[in-house]
Amino acid sequence: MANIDINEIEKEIAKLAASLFKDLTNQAISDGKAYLAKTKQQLIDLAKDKATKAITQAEYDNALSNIKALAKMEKLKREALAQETIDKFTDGVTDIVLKAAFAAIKI
Amino acid sequence: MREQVRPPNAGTARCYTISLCCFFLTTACSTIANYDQVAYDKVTGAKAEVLTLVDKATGSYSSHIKDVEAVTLTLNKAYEYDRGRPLNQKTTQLWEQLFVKKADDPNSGIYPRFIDLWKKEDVVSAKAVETEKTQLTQAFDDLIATESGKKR
Repeated sequence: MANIDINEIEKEIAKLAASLFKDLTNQAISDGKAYLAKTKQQLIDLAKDKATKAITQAEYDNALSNIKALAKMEKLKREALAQETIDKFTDGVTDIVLKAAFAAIKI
Repeated sequence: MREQVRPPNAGTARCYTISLCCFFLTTACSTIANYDQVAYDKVTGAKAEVLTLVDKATGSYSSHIKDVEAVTLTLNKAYEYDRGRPLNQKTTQLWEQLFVKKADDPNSGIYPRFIDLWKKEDVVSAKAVETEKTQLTQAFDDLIATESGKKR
């Protein structure tokens, strides 16, 4: 009877998970830091522009609303990228299992 | 009478294995849309047009109505294209923050809010234009990064 090497499959899946999710985490941390720095700077600049009357109250309110919308966009982008990584992981697991299955039956 | 048990043979094993493969192939479906070059082109094109338009906001709104209409149409086409793609809810929600003023989300609609501001004030200050360009760039870059990250 054909033998499927379950231990090898587990090892390959663990390797795939470690690589994909580590990349996702590292990217999320670096993007998160960059986003926070950008937002902080925007808030400082806005306060200065408002204080020096370089912008009107309406322009200030508009920019503030934009910052809130951009925060939502950042969250949505992260969710989409995480979903994409999960899909890549599922595809990767399928590949590993198929390769092992075909190797076992020598197709 | 003794029950006869047939030993598993290579044919049975092969059958099980192929069934298992079929199971994995059918269940391993995507949960998010794949990368789409047309969508990418539309969003990058819209970004360039929007930023060019915002630069004009230091001038009178009334003399740029046609420009606003043209850019709004470009944005609408890009948004509708993405909205019509299956498994593309996250991208559609991103577009909504940029392009749609939702009743239940007062901060959504970065672009239409700016157009309303321009229309109301007729001329926007240079500083506000600079800020708007930075924020719109950030919004479009989120959309572009999301599309680029999709499976090819």
